[in-house]
Amino acid sequence: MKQYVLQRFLQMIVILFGTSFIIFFLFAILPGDFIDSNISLTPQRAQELKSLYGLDQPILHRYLNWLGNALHGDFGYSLKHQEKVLSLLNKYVWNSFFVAIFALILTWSIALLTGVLSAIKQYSWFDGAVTFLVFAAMSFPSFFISLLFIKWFGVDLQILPIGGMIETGSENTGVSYLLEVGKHMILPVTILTLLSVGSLTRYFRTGMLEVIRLDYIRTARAKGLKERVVIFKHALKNAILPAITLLAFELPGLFSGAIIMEQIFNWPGVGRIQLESVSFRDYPVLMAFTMFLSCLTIIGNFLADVTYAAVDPRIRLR
Amino acid sequence: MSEMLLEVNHLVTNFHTENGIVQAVNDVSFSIREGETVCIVGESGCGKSITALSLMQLIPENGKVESGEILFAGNNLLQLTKKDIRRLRGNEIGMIFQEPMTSLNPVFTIGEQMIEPIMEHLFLSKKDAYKKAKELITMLGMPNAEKIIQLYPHELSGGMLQRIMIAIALSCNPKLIIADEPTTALDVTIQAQILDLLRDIKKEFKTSILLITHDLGVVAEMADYVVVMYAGKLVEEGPVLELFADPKHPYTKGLLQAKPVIGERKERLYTIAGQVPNLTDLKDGCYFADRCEHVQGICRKKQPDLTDVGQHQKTACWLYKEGAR
Repeated sequence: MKQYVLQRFLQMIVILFGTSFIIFFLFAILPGDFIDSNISLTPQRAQELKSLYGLDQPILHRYLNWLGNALHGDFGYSLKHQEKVLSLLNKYVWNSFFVAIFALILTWSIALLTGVLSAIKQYSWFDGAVTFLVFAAMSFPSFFISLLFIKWFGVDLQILPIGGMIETGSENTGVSYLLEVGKHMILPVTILTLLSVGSLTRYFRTGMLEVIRLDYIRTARAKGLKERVVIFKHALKNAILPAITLLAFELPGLFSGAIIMEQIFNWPGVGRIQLESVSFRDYPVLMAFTMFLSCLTIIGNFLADVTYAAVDPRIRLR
Repeated sequence: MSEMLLEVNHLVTNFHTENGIVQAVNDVSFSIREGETVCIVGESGCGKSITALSLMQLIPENGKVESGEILFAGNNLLQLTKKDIRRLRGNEIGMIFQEPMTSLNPVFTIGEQMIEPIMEHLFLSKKDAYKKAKELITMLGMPNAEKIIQLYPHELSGGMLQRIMIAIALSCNPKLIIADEPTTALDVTIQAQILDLLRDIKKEFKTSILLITHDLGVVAEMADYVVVMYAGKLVEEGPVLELFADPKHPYTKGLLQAKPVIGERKERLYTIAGQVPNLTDLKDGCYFADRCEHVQGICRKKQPDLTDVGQHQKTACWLYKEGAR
């Protein structure tokens, strides 16, 4: 086990180097950079700025330069925001994270419950209704359903704010600040949940349906156990094992921000920073953020393998 | 004569499938006395396992016990509530299945799975239940009980797992053990050990056993009384010695002829021609008529009832009906 962790750790380092190289080169070979997009500069001034930012040097040189700084924990300044990249990301990433984590918890709880219930009551009216609703929720485009909800709850009923994270000019602190943010969070979280709950519900339903037909479930019933124990202990543990992998893949998603939702609800999340960094060729932000997500993806994979081995006795890591 | 423990009267179990109604168990009656071993014999797909599962009410969802009664210690199991049936399962009736490798949950240890019925039915604490589980393992001839209860099913062999299944079935001192082809998936030496184990249990605890098998060697070794099933119907029954010495129904005769005899070399083993009929569209006459060597006119028109032949033997065949022809 120790050896496995060590081995995976070394692999992770190699993969991260590879990823950073590929990302850096892919963006560097795209025509244009941060200076080119500013047409108000004279050619002379543009040239000065380019050499100031080091944009006139060869790609490999720039990459090694970036890598050397990054290894010292220095991810540079954002060209657009003129702020340290780390403090910039730190400011926005948590806004996205809290929306994502609530949506994740909601999605998984709802999906688990409805998936299991519709499996044990297969083809009942409940199963039919759940199937209908999850497919309906899945098939709406997110921008449409977001606008619809803004109209219903924000404009018609006026019970929820139509966007933003706090009221304009609000100076609340402490609990009242949290309540205010919470109120603004309801719609974004609901939308994200609606969009992702469907596939997961179907996933749990299928997993459960496969398991409850197996011999050991019959054995559990033959032992005279309560139906509740048969389903929620014996069947569920087997049915949710494969979902651990899915859960681990959600890890980068927690921090990556939801671009469409953040645009529509005017949520100050990191998704928008990411989009801007691509369109303005803000390399320091782009590189730091992409590397952060790669790290999380790799860690998520690693965690999936380790937890899977911990909960499924048939798997041994070597 | 000891007391009657289980009486099955005119049991009918049907499956509702897309191809129509499958009559898996069709008017089957038999009984088991205390301490007696009854074997149900027949080919694959003739309703043996469904008969056993009907007793426990564990038949798959599209199946239904349509009529009949199952009297266990005087109570009709078909009229009990779900809760009462649950109290009976694993407690007064233990069950052993065909595939030990898939009958235990892969993600729980042997110990965890053994203590469940003990805690549920005997109301022991977790600690006492573990103690009892270890005693059971030792009793069933497995060394190192301490270690076994910490293992997972995939770490044990099929023979060991079947012993664990027997231990689970025995754990609450049941009056009846239903063993559904308990040795089919095991190799021959292990088969013999498992059968010895069941015999010892019967001797020691006076437990009744309902053994389901297609192996006549197992029947000869284990049974006191034999019930032969064909296409969901009971075709012959009788005490094991009488039935083996003087089988009446052509199907039973065929089964016995198809059994290899040790020390005898034959070019070819006898087989009963044809297959078990499709249970969705059964004809009016005797279901065995198409495969029977003694088939006669009436066999294809009318079904024979079970009638007494010999002292304790009964068979459902027109050959033994007087005046029929």
